[in-house]
Amino acid sequence: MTNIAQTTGQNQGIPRPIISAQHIGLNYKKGKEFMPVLADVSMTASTDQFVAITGPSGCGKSSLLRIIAGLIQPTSGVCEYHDSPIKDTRREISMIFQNFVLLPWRTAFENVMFPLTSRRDVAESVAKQRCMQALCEVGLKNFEDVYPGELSGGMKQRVGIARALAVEPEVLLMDEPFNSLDNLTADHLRKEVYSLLINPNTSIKTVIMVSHNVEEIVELSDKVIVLSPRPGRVVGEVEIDLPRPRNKKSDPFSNYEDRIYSLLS
Amino acid sequence: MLIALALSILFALVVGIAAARSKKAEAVFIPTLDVLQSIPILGFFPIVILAIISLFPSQLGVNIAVILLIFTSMSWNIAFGVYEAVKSIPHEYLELSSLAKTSAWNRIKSLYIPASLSRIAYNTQTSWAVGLFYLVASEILTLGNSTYTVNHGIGVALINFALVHAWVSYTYAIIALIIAVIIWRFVFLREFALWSEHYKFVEEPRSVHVDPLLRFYSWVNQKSIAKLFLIAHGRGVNRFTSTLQKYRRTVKYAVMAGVTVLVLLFSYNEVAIMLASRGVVVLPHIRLSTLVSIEIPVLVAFAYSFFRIWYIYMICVVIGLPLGIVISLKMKLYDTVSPALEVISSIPAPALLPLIVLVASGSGEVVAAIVIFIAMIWYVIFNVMAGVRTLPADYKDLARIFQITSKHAWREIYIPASIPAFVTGSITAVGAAWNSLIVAEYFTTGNSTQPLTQVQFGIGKTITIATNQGDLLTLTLSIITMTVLIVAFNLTVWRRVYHYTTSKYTYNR
Repeated sequence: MTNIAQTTGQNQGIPRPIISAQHIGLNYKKGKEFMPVLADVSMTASTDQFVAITGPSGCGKSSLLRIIAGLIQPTSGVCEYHDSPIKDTRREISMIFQNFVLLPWRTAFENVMFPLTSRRDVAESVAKQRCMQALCEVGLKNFEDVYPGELSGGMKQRVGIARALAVEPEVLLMDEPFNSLDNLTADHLRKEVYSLLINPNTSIKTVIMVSHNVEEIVELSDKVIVLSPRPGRVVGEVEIDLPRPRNKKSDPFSNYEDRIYSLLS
Repeated sequence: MLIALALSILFALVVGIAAARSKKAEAVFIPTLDVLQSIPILGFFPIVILAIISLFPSQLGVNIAVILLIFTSMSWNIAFGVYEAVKSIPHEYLELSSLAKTSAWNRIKSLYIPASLSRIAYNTQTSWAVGLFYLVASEILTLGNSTYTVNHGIGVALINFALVHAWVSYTYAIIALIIAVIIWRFVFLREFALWSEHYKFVEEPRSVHVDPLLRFYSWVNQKSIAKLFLIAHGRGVNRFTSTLQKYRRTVKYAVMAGVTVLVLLFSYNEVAIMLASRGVVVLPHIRLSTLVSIEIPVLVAFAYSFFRIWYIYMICVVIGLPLGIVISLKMKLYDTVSPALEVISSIPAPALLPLIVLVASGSGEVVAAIVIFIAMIWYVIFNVMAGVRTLPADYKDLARIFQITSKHAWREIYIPASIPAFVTGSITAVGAAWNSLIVAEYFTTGNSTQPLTQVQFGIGKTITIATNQGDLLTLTLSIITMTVLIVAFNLTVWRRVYHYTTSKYTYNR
């Protein structure tokens, strides 16, 4: 199941991937020298797939996520959304941040509403309804008028999730979403997050998450892309085929963990 | 100026260490420094000059007075720096030194001083710019009185060139000043700052490019201004205790103000007696009616100045706030513009006075407006710039990911995010404006009857004229009025605004 540095999407009979990164290379300019961050990275994310990107710190996994988001452009290679290259950010691709990035001077509701206020195609009444619904789904009903400063870390991230849900994206990117939370809170949120994001009622078709927590990856993802230290290359791809909800104490679970650890070291 | 700087650092070390290590010293020094920092020092200069000249009636006296003024302008914030630094020495180090039974001097030498070095370095950078302002201002102030002037100095040179319309020489002098500023800021102070990095307790994540503006900001924002308004500052203070503290603080400040007034009155009498004995001026009789008859025009003048400062402040806001945000949002623009701005900003406004008089062609009100504007605008721009720079990059990503329109991004992200820094900048700017009044509203040289520039009414004019005429009573009353009103305004209005904005518009909580 482990393919070393191989392009995926080769399985016949599976529909075209939603996100497809092909031979991505990225250099950072440091003074006069170019520092390679990513080298020839290819990966895909298809319908109803939860994909994790992992690797040692500094391997460029966050940069890869930002390329997919359209925030930065790769030096070489191309990243496609439904066969069209991603040149800029687009409304079908949404993101959840490690540090929440909420506006502290706005209430939870206004924060969720914020992206929609810039949208001409969504009527205000529709937008409001969507925001209320998103807040309900993440379990923050009755917290609409609370400011982020009065919310706990876990609740702040819930607002972040609601904000991403409310724009009804097709692709959801998550940059170490549980990293700023304490263990117990992160555990709770992880248990809910998969069914919250991937279910027939949401617009989300695929989730791509950056993480360095192996247990979290095995708990959540269908596919794991493991990158090497800088410059990041794909050293392995692991498909995780376990029934949900997953039992962290089970042997197959530990086997997957061991396999990812061995790729990381 | 170097003498003044050395004195400032010495003073700062003594006061700072004492305040940080002794509860009693802290209770006395910190509120004193607070008040001293928030009053326009330039207003006191005339009294100081008259007093010192009566002691040393020569060039020496004038020079001492100038050094003293620069020292005064620079020492407060360095002292605060030392205080903060010594306060924040990890207590393990103190325990270690008491376990080792080190002597007090040894402790100062090997712990307190090294611990304060990096803060001294940073605060010196800002103090320097402030000091330069006072240097030029005080030198040219002495010109108003033909008896006592500083003979040599950049400020004097500038004015003299301008008076004889030697504009080429004037330009050269300005260029020389700029070059001196560049060398000092970017060579000497930089080295000092880099060297002092070794003396830091906490190894901060080292980036290749340390933004000097951010350092400046963190000093202005967290230390000096916070100190100016709160004795116990910080996020940890909850609402209940701060309510309790509020009243105690008000009383403390009232007592401080009272003591200041008494000291001033006392020194007035002393000075007056001394001057009379030397035959310089005759001691005026103080009657209540004369007091009132002087106080009323002083109040009127103050009102004019107050209004003047505020409408120019509004102009500064309209220009400075958007400009600061635009510059710091554009990476390339920032890298090219900010060092240039730093240099331009450190040219003291009084040095440009003759040029401004020339440009404004005789309208005193316009001259005053321009000088006050120059004194204020940099504080607004730099603070806004630094404020936007501290905004985590994630927020820019947020705006792009969700395709926020630029109108919304400005209204919801950039402007709110820069508000705390903007308020800090405004407080500093208005403070600087009060100081600049002394040269902005009325300026004359000793050998001409017609002043170079003047406004119709203004507290700065009142003070300068009173100085030149040796009218100690008006001078004292003006300064007391100005000090009391400014301190009162700071405590009532600014402090509330500051509290409100810092609690509402901070994103890292």
